[in-house]
Amino acid sequence: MTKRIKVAGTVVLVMAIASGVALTGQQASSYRAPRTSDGKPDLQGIWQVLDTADYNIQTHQARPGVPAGLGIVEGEEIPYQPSALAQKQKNFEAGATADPAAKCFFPGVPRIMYMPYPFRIVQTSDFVELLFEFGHHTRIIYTNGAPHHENIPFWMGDARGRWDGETFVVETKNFYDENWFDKAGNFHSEALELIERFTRTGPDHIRYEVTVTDPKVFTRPWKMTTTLYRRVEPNARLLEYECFALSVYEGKRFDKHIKKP
Amino acid sequence: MNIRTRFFSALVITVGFVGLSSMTKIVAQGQNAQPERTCSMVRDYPAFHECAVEQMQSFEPPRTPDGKPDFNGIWRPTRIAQDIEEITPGKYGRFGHMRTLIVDPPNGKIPYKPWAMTERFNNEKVYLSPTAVCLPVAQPRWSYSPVSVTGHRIIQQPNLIVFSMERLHTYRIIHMNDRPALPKELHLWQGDSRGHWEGNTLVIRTTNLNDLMWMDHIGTFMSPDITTEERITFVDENTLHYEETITDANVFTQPWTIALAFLRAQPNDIMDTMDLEDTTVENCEEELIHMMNVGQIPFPGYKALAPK
Repeated sequence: MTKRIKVAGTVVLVMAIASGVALTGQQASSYRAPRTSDGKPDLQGIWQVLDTADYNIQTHQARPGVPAGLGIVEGEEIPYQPSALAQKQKNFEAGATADPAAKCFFPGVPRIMYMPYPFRIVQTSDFVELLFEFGHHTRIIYTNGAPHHENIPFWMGDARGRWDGETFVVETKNFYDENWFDKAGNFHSEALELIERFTRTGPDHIRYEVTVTDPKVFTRPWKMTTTLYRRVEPNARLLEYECFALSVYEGKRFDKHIKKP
Repeated sequence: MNIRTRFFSALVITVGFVGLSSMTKIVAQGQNAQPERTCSMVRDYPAFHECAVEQMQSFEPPRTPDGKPDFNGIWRPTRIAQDIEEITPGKYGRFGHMRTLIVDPPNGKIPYKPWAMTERFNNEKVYLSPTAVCLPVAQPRWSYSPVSVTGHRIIQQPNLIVFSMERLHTYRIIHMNDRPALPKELHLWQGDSRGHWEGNTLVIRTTNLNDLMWMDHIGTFMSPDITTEERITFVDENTLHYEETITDANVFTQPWTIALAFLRAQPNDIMDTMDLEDTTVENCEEELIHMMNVGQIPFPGYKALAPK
């Protein structure tokens, strides 16, 4: 009896180790994506997040109209400098009225990457272009070695990309200081610089990582990680969310300015 | 600082790096470095149209790996129009082009139904010009919109063609395959565009447009049933013939057609403005509120104007 238990126990132990190794192997193993005609991993298609980062990039309870969500910030903490933390708090309390994206301004990067709207990736040999349903925004990421612009700020930043094996690495800088990371008021200055990494992990998934550096607001760089899911419906396509047009025609925001005849 | 040497051409084509330039400076520099063209009268629209329609029959265009004419690149229209008919030549800006864009009907006039003609004149007085307050510049206006002068990027793949209109910070997607049509009830500013090839011509049919926009600055309007057909063909390696036929039996007595040339942006043109972000909503809000305060209201669309 004891011997059988010992043998059984050993078998279970070995199986546990083996499956543990297999699990680790799955996380570490790289999927080899199909290639475009110029030999680069093919990121093309329509993608969208399924997380709640647009509400709050950190873990949050449910609130009316807001689902609960686990944060996408690695280590959970956003390393604000003390004065910046006070500003974040003010933003949070000001809420929807102060959120630049709610006012239909350019939502900025990385926020547009995890807003709950689909976007399309198109690749050429000189650039990768992202086309967003929200506000018909675009991001063009040159991969041909062109240098960044100088002395010109962009709402969506100025992005340059390169390939690192299976990963598309994008460096973006030259931002305005107008945007938030989410509706909860997490924000940055014009000194923001991002490094994004796009890695296909399977036929319908991209691991999206973004490292945030902003010495005016944070005490150190910090990182977010989430998943982009392919929109696989046969008729999947981008429609339109014309934010400003909606606010003019249906949002009642400007009604008080219209003169009655 | 102008970069004109071919040594920098590869960089300049895709980025440019100098700084802001005025629109007229760009146009002037474009004019200074032009290749030979089969139909050289690119700004004399009726004459260009006639020449192009003939010459395109015998031109063998550059081709993509899948054998189709290769439209990839950055293209600039030869004409922008705040007034398609150019009723008062030069009233809305002198870009060297002061005649109607319309090649059919031959008289160059938009064939309005009488009630619609009256409405158009009224629009300009009463309603906000949609694009003046940051509403989208959309189909059918993108090709000759004033902000188009810096050019549009065409990205061509077998199943998909993208018009990336960066200065308008927007895009059109042309589906090149047989996917299900959008339901009639859905109206998009850019519409739903499907393309196919007829010989060397790219033919794009667009439906599901909305009626809230104007086709120019002076109130040329349309119903939600409008459809457009665009035809794009190489005349020579650096010149495209573009025509667009507007069909809307609610507003016009017959379909009508505009035509213009698109010129390939040359390596020694300054391209930096391609990347710039144009008017932001922040500015448009102020403009919108100001215009409302002096009594103008957002254009209510065809449904509010049409006779009952």
